[in-house]
Amino acid sequence: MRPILLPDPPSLSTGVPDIFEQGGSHNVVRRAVVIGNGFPGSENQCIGLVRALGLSDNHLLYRVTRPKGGLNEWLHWLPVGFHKKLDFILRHIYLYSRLMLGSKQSKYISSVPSENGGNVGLASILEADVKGIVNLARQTYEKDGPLIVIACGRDTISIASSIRRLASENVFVVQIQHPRSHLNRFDMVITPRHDYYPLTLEAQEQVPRFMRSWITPREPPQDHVVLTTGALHQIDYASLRKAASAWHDEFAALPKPLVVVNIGWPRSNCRYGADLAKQLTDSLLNVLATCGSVRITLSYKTPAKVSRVIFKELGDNPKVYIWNGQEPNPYMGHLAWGDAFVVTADSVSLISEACSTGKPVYVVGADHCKWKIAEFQKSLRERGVVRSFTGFEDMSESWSYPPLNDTAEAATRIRRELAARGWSLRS
Amino acid sequence: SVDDLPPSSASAVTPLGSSVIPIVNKLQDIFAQLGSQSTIALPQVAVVGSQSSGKSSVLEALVGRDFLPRGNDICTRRPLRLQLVQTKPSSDGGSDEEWGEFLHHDPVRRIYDFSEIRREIEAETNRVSGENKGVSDIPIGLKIFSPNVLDISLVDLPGITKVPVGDQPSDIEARIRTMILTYIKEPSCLILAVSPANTDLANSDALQIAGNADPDGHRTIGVITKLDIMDRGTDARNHLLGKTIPLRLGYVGVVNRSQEDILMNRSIKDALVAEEKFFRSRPVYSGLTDRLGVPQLAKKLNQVLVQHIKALLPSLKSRINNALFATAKEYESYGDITESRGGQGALLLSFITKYCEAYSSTLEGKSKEMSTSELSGGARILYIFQSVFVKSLEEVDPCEDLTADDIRTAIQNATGPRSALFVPDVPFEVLVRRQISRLLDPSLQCARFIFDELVKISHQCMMKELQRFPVLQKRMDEVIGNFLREGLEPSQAMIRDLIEMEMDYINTSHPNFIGGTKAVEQAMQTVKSSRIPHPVARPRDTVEPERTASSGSQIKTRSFLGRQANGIITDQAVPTAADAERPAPAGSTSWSGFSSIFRGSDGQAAAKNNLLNKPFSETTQEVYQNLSTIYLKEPPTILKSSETHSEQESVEIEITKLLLKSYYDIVRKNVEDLVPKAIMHFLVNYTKRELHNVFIEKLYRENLIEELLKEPDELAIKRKRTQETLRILQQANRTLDELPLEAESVERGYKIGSEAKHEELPGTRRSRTETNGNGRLHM
Repeated sequence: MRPILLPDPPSLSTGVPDIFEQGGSHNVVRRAVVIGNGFPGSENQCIGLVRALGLSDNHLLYRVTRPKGGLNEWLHWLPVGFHKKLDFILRHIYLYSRLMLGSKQSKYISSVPSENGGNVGLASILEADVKGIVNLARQTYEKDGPLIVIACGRDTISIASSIRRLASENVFVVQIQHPRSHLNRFDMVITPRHDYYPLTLEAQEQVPRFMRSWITPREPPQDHVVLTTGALHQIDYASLRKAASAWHDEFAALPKPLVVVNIGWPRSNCRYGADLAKQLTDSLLNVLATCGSVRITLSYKTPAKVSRVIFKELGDNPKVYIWNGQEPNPYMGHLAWGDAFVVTADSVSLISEACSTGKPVYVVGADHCKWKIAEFQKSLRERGVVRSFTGFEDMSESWSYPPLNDTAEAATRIRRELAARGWSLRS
Repeated sequence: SVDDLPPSSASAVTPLGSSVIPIVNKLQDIFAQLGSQSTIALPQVAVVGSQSSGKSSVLEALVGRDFLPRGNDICTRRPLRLQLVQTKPSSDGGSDEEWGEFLHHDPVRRIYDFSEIRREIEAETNRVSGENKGVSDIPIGLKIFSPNVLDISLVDLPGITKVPVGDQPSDIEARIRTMILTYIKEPSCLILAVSPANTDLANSDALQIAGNADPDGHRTIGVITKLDIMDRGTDARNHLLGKTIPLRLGYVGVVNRSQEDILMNRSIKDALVAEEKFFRSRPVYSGLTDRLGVPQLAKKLNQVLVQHIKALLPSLKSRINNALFATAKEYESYGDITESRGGQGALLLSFITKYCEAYSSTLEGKSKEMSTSELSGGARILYIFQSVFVKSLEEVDPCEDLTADDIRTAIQNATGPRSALFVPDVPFEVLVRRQISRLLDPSLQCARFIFDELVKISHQCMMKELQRFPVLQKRMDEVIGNFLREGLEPSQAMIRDLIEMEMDYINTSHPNFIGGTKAVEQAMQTVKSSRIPHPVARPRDTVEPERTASSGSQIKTRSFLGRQANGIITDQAVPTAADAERPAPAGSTSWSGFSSIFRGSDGQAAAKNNLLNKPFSETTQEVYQNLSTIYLKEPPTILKSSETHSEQESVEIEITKLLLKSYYDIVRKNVEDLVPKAIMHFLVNYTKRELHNVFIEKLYRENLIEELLKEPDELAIKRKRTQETLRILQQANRTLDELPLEAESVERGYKIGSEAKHEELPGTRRSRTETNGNGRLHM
């Protein structure tokens, strides 16, 4: 039973009307446009930033969709605009050839969902369109003030930079994740510090000289580049409080300390398999005596070879609960109620979110990581934010550190930058 | 008069004089004596916030006096445990004096000058954490007594700082956060999260860290400071209403004195007036008066703390009870200590008596600590007798290492140079004695087992109680060990005697003995039945008619008629023996003589046999050489009886075996019966009876008592510590008993409380209705 929360009664309007706000209405940023690339990891970063800017109730989400399926899986290196045109041509060639040949099998077409599920039914998310956004910014500038555009991911680079080129007077364009080159195409670039790892001496030793110019980034960070420790996200103190009360019934009665285990999935910079899963379960069983309860969540991308081991070793342990994937996802509840976290090393976002709580975070499998992720792990360890999970910890021990605060810090930088232009954010 | 009082209590005209806070304060003092050993977490309020968020100012406003170190950078560098104790004002017959007491002062002294309190806090901080901004987690204890404060216990914690300065380590923020967490993680701790209004509440360090310990905010009170220095056009209304971040206990907004106010030496009283004025001048804060201002904060804090304590008391009580029980038990285990000579003597005597009682009751199976998982004490002794001793004797077959050849050789040897007319007695007696002698070793072993068992039992007795006195334990072990050994000797001697008695006289008239006649009949039958399938042996019977079964049986029957009258046997046997030209087999012959008959019965005997035979064969050789030229083949030095059995011989062998078995059974039964009796009499029961006397004789000596009852030093220390803990817990328990726990007894409890603790709780009666009217603050 969730507690019944009454809505707040209407409060006395004692505030100052908007029109008397400092500097007039056309200098106040009240809305945001988010350009996503369809990946939850990236869009989550944009929305986190929007939230930190206080614009979460007034933002539009656009999406750049790269053609998928069939031949397209081999064409990710193409600029997304060109890729779309090519896809359009290919589609038509295919259609015509099919008509000519009278073939009934249509493997290519059926496997290709078109932009934002366009032909499925309701187009809930708009396809990012430079002209449309530029027009929006220009036409509503007088009435609604400047537009802040937040984009994330490589596929959004060209659109975001075009919007800035066409409407630089009316927009403030923020690009999240390093856009490789020409950083001055954006008003602000927010990127993790470890994206600059290739510029360090240590990294350069690992790469042959002739390759270096091909590796992002090419130059050290400029003034309008905000360096973060981890990824941006939506977790802040207020969201944790809300999650805590929403999940109160589920978690308040659990034996403490509650240890939360978040398992990601192997990727190119951090490869692992059943061996790491076994190491994780062994260590968990080792520290189980010091845990009140353990809750495990697996990502939807976690490979079966990993999850099999987890279920086999811990599935019937009375202290351990493994989330079976059924909604609602308890992730936020875990962040709010967990007393300590164990996270696999692969995921920058999972680790960043756990580390923004200020609660103990243990990382498992950091030695499987290389290149940028290894650098990320190293920096966190050196700052005392995470510790390696060895299986000899006392999970009831509580230690703390300055919580990762990248999203709020990035928002503060944006506020300052806006202020320098004479703009302000709606408070 | 109300005007004289600082507004903090003047506006809080209804002090919620519940008796619970003083009681918790008392408990805190009580448990402070235990130091870090205390595992019982008491309800308290911890003040957390980032550096310069105004924590200390809030505290000072609550007390109404300046007494905390202040400045621009880190001021609170050690946790400050602050107890506010309300005293009786002069209007109520008390005094208006206000003073502070530090818990680290011994003896406690009252400090009336609050600037001295501040200096003392600074000095004490510097003493532990160094002069240069270092931070330590060892708390300072301070009590403030004043008629103008409400009863509240608070812990002022160092502020969360971002940038290390001075001697602070680079991970200062992590350290302070960890320190704060250790305090607020306890479910019994209320959290006062102080956040300044001029920063983003969603990023408030105070609320963030409070959320780590208290996710759903059911024990966090938000305090928003610096409402007066918010940006123009902004207000904290939504924050105070909990719309930004909900907290179950809500928020209180305050306006602290600014640094300027402090420099201008403006009093807290003036500041509170200014605060009230500020809120009244802002229409945005109208309607929020119940969550604005320091007086409201004090009131709310007091109410919440009272509720919080009430909610925690039952579990606190049970925890104290558990600790009390455990400590009492531990203390008991260390026993009493007596200093006087007479008392020590009595103690030793009672120890000895108890030890002997424990020893006998373990033996008799009356011990209180009886095990259900394994045999112990007397039951083990029975097991050794029955399942070890008797069982192994039963399993022994008297004929197992006795071949037919052995018996035949013995019979032939017994009849001498002639062939036997009757089956002779001698082989039977020799063989049966040999079997009886085999019983000696297991019997002695059995006694040894019982001895070991008794030693074990003696070690188990009073083990716990004796741990106190290692010297006594060692001496008692020595005494009982020697005493048991003394008991072992007579029991073993008796066992030897018993076996010798059995060997010395073979009582063939024993009613259970099979007797000659019956043995012959049975043997005949057995042999006959076994011969039928072997017709090959028949022709031999006819070759030697004198040894036919019929004649043989006739003779043998006579030879074993002794069952009716012994004399007959001797009469009829004597001629036979005389014919044989050797001493009559009357049993008077020495043992060695008899055993020498047996070839290979043991090495010595065989050697003797050879020695006896040698001179005889040499002399005969010489005689023959002189008289005749016919040479006989020399007989081999070792002669064996002919290898083939005649039927007669088989019968003889069978008879001997039957007799042997029958008689051995009788003896074995006697031994099985008598050996345990001997052991019980000479060893077990004897020690049980005499142990007490022996102890008295050996240990209860005037000059020994002191040495015996010497305790190890660590034990004395432990006892003392446990005694102290016990005393404190009893005190705590009594303190808690003064408190009503049930909701329905609250009313009565207040009455009792106000009467019993009248001088400590002014205004209790006045507040009764008020407390009940505030039921909405139930957590």
